[in-house]
Amino acid sequence: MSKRRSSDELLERFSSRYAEGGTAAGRLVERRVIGANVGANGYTTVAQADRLVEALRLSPESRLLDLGSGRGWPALHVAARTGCHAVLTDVPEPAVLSARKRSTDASDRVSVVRASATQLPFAAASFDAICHADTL
Amino acid sequence: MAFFTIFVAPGLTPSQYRRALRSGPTFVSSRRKDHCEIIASAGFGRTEETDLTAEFLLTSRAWQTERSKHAAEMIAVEGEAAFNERQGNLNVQSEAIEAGLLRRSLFVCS
Repeated sequence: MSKRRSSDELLERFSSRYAEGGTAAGRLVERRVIGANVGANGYTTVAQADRLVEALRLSPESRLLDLGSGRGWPALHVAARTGCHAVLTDVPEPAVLSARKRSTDASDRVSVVRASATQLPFAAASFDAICHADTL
Repeated sequence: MAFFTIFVAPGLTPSQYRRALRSGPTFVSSRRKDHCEIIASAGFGRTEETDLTAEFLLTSRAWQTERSKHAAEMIAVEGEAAFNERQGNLNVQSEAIEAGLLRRSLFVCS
């Protein structure tokens, strides 16, 4: 399998997964596994997201870059807990759309950009901190 | 910088290593170097690692178990083939974690 084809198939798989609509059962499963309904489909629990908040030591003046943000978990949690400015990035369009929808209440501090971690459209030194969850 | 990551445990035999690659998320096969080496090469001087492997196993098993409890609703959304594939992947992954082949940690770098 070529690297390009493999990459395309991965993007398709993730796009399909992020596009799945939320159902009552899905929300119940997520709440039991992760501890909240936050659009998570990975392994970062609420307790671990709080650990990330502590580790990053951000203030409302800080700028955070999240790579491979998916639907916005846990970066939106970090932004809400610290009041920091956050830029979320990911490639699958459904993930970006979902993260934007989830961040509407914090649109003055949070933006969601469709971009790959290998080709980021930001100038050097644009951020105070970087985070990601099971992206790399 | 702070990040969670899943990775192949160090010190495996070649066959264990191959099983670990097959059992984890796709990105575990993209990394050949040790995390600390990569982080240091990016200019970070200090790295703290918190091992979350035990919690990773609990979460991996919990996804499988909880999804099974609501299989009919999940299949309606995902389709039967995709549901079964994901459940199978979760089971393979959990067994690999239990066998000590896959780990998950929080790295905090400064």
